[in-house]
Amino acid sequence: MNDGTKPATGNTTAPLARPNPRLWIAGLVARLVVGGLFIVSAYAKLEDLPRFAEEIRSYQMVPVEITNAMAYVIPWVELLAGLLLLTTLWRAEARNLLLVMLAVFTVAKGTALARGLNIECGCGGDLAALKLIFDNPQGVLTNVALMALLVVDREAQLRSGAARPGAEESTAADKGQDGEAQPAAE
Amino acid sequence: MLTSLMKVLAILAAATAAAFVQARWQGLKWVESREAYQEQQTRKAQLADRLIDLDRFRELIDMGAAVIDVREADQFAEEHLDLGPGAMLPVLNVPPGEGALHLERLHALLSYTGTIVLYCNSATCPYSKELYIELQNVGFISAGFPDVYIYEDGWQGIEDEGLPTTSGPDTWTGGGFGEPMTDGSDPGEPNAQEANAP
Repeated sequence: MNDGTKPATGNTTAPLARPNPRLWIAGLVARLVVGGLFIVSAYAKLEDLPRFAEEIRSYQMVPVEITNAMAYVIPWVELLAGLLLLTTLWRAEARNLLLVMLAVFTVAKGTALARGLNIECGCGGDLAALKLIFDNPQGVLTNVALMALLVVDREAQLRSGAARPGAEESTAADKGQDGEAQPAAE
Repeated sequence: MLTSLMKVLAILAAATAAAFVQARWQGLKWVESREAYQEQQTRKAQLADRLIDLDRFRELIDMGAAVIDVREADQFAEEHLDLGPGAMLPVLNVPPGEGALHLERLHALLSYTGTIVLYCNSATCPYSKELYIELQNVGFISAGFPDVYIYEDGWQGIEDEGLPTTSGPDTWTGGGFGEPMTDGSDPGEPNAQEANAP
């Protein structure tokens, strides 16, 4: 608990708030699940890019001309963001990117459902089980659950209290001066 | 905030660069042609009269039709339709996009039957239709011969209906279990076909 005292001089790595072990574990589980799923999903797409391009076209939401380019880039974004999330290298940025992607995918799946488009082919080779998770209609719920996990990870990171050199962190002095804690940098 | 944005842009740039390299290496088209796509969709729509249901599928198998599983080789090896010990031919596997690689075997197949049924994963799976179009393009299907149909529900239908299945890779090299036809038009003996019924 923060008692308002300044951290020891030169000690810029002392935690500013007591970490919540449960929240830390929840964040870890969230990163493992979301990051792992995105990496596996990216691998499945990279194995058959033309098939993924065909899936994008079947949504009928973007011009046909750009569907190939989208199919080639999206899996790499998923792979990189998934790895960065797992390794916490650029944790916040990877998380935000994955949140945006999930939001877009959810809107696309929801729109396809509303329009009655039956676009999933059940294909996926060894990763057919993955398709069971992401195919409509349960795919929408899966995406929402993944976004919720990312929010959990965000909370875990914000409340971890771990100080980073040079980060815009709130200090006890700042808190005491303006009475308002600054959130940990994302 | 700016730093964070720069990192996101860096991720997107790295992904785009990797995608560009992969597309060049695999010879993939970066821009899809609208005309080519619409032509493909039109040809797929024209195959509506080639789609058959389970009853018609069983009927054709009873008549000695050959069956081709248009799924990936590992999916086929894991499990595929079993036509039974009395079948003249085993179920063949032609993975998506490999029609041209199996032309020799497909021509050998015509010695046993003039009717072929394709199936892939499900009703929304495009592989069967794509193989049909590919076989048209290379002249294997011409002027209505051979008579090729597509079992619409595919592997999903086979599983849902509890049809007999087996496992193992496709090792067929051209020899049938029965006698090849002499004129290429007779689907085979009724006695053998009844035993074929799944």
